[in-house]
Amino acid sequence: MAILEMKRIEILSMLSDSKTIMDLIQQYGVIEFSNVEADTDKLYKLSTSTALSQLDKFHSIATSALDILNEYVPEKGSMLASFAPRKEMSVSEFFFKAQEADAILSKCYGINALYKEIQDNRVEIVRAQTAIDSIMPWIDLDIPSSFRGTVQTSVFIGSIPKFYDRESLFSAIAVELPEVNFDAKIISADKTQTCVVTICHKDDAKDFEQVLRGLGFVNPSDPTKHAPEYRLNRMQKKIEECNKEILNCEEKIKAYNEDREQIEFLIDYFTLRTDKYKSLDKISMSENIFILSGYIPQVEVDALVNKLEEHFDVAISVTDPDYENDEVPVAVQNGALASTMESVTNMYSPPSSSDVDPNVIMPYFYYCFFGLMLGDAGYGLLMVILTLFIKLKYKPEGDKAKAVNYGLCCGIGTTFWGVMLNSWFGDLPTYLGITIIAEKHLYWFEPIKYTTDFLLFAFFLGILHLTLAHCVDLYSKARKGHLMDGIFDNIPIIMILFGVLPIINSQIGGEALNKESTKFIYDFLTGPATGVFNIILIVGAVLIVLTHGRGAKGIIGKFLGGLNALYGAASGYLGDILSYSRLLALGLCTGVIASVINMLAAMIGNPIAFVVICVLGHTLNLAINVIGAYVHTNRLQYVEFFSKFYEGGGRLFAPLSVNSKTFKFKEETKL
Amino acid sequence: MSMGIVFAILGAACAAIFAGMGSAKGVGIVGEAGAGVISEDPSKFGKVLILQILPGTQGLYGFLAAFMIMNKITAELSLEQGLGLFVAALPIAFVGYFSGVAQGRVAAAGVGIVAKKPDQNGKAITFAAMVETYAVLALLISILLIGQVQ
Repeated sequence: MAILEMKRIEILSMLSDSKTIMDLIQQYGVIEFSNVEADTDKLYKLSTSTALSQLDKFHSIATSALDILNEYVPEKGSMLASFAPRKEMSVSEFFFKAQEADAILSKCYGINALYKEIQDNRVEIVRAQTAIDSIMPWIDLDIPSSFRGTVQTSVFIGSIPKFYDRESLFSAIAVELPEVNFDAKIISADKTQTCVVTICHKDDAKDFEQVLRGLGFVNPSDPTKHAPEYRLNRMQKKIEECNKEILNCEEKIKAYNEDREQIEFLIDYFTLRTDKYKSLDKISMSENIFILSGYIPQVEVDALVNKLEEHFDVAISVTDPDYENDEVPVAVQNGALASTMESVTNMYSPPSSSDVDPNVIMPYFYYCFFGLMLGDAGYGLLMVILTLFIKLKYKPEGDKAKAVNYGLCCGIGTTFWGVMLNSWFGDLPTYLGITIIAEKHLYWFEPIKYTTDFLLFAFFLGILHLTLAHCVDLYSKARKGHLMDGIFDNIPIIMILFGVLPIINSQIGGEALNKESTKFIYDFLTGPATGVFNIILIVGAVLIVLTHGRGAKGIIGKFLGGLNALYGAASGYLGDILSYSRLLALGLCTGVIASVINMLAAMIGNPIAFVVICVLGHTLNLAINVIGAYVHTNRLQYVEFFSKFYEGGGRLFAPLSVNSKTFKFKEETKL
Repeated sequence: MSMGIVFAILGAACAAIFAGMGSAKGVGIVGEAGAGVISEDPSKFGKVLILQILPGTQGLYGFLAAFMIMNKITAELSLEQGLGLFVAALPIAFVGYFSGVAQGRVAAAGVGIVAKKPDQNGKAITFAAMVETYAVLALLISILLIGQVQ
């Protein structure tokens, strides 16, 4: 299917129908709105910013309520359960539930308020704890710290920032005031401070205080009329109360768990409305009518237009988009296999509307490369089993289905190459004393023994891959009406790519392929065909010199341009082909590390240890090498493959649609 | 033990040591940068993790070369063969070290891309994978050279 043809659609209808029409369009999910300029003063725009910010607020309240709920009542179910499809819901059910939105929202407010109460109580506890910390040094004091004395005496309660015991304090004061009678009691003392109660006659109070101040004496920062022990009890009681309150709130939050589904619905409901308002922002209206315009894929036009015309008074015009001046969005639609590539392509850059959809072309080499880089039947089968399990148990939909299919294809590729290279968790079968494939001719070769064969094979695949890229470029240019450009730019390069095969063969060991399994390739590359390859190579080179300078002015300019292109091709494609040696590097890595894990496991000589080490080691090896294979397969696509024909830079089609997480509409629409 | 075996072991050790050092440093650099992003937005963990693992392959390549040299060690290894294996280990040892560190830097910068534009992480991965090419080429030569030592 590839890239869908886009149309521009304009719909004009009665304002009274606008709400129903917008809902219908959202359910169909096929129109991306563009701004309708209100170029007369009869048309005006709806101001949606207040509504949008309001919706935004509600949405975040509902989301935080769900987060809080998840914190206190973690959702049960395995990690894989997120692959499960959305629940079905009919449109009428949706509108019925939507009426309860306010009630659910107030529940969300309730959850948020409870959570805030918990936070406040936690702050209170911290405060009480700090207060207790400051009370503790005074705990042995049995009078309030604000006590200042009796009729005849003055009492000074406070701390001195230095360690004193009773004797040293007495002598420190007595040195200054030898004739004054006083008493002092050390409440507590440590390296940083000494808490003391001192008492003296009121007449001496002034001098006495001065001496105390000289020692660094300060009154407590929070003098109170209660004794410390009383305050301690009060604080402890407060902490207890706060804890009780927190538990209480937590219970209340947990009770809200039965509303979880409703809250999830509410989040989706607000997402839907936010999306709708964002699109409403783009339409124009007068007193009686409204106008919307946007992009719609050609394939969807009929269904939507029929539906609208059947139910409403509408005027609809469908025209070709203006590719020259407007940034037309791009939508792709592919079969199960090609659609798995969409995420890979979009990560690079979505196709532009003039591109050939690369998703259709990519998967074969992609999964072949991925399989070669991981290259182990054991790992491949694990991937296949896991993805098939998810597929059959949860029946994922949409992007999740694509991701699972992607994993499945990677697994199949890996299993295939694992069988071909006779790798089952590395060389695990030999340790277990079993032979999975006994007949030598049933697998191809073991890469660790025939590294040069593997390398040559990698280069060969690389040449095929690059050739495919140039064929696509040829097709793409021909489609745009530049057939001759396509031929000149691509055919000579393809000739050179194939012409160098015997040279590569002779450079790398030469004899490496001269074995039973690959003898036919060896014979082909070294036999009479060699001369033909050389001719192809030379003709290709000459053609590049003759044609690639055609843009330059003058015969000498053209010739020099051609020579330059030949040099560029020679150096550039050498690099490109060499780049495919990563197939060998990563493929060997997986196998060798797997073998080392088996070796380590066998060294201990204990069956349980063998199993444990194997499971842990192979899991780790699989995890690391899956990421390696993913990254480098992508790189081969992006750098070597895409650079030959792919422009990218498109903008993905983003229609107004039901962008929900937890439910989907059962029927397309019912008015 | 003959001098040949000593040199072969030295070669295997060099391959594992330097390439491993490069990877350790590279992965470390990306990890530091990644932790900063995760502290702001933990949901980007998967994307950052892929970037962090990228400079790790050099260590694997060094390990691979060391393993292949180990397979070559026999009791009757001559001095010439041992020296040959030692020299064969040098490409992946040195290039592994420097490309590991350089790839770490690129990937750490790529963490910045993930932080600001998470949907563009494919580009960050591609930048980092460009550096890896030279580690692959060095490994390739090391493997071919090891194969040449008869």
